[in-house]
Amino acid sequence: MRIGFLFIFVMLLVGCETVSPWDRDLLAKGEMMLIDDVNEASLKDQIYFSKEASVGGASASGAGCGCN
Amino acid sequence: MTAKFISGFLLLFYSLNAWAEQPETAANFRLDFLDGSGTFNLEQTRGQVVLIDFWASWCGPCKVSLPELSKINASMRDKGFKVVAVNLDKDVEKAREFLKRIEVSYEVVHDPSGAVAELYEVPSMPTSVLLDREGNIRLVHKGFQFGDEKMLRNEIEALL
Repeated sequence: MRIGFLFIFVMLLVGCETVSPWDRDLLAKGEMMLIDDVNEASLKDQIYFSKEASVGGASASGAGCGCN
Repeated sequence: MTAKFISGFLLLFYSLNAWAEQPETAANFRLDFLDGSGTFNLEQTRGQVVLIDFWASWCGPCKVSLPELSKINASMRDKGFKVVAVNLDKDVEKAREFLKRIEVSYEVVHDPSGAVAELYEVPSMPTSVLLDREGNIRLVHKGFQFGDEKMLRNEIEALL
């Protein structure tokens, strides 16, 4: 049982791969966004940041297309 | 004995530091021009200050960086400066379409496999690598936003 879980865990780790910045053309496509509607995303951000009383930190460096 | 050991250690430490500060020589590469007019060889640009700009048509900030670099190139090429843009699109047609919309004043080469990007360990898109007249890497600029062109201009002028 434990070995089975360990096996699944290791297999999941094997699935992780770093994508080079110049290979992120597919990730840069609009359909790869979690919310593809810009207005909806902006509205959700506005609500989120108002509730959190802070701005920023919603994205991580190196994610998406790797642009800036 | 202890004094000798300490002075020896300090000498080694500072000499290593001096060695680490030596600028790195840019790796040479040859790539075909995007317009099919021949092959570009970086070695032939020795004696000029060169800015290698890695970009792609799908990269958002490149829409800002290309026109700015084009202006810098146009105003400074007479002083011994040139921009070489390395396009990393896998589909060359996408790059050509992009350049129809945004015209540039410099040479554009094509690296569909990303071999040169890998050689220069490009950390993000776009990335600009500034070389001095001896072909040493003087600056690696990651990304691009409004205002960066002033900093780049200053860095280039310092090398000219």
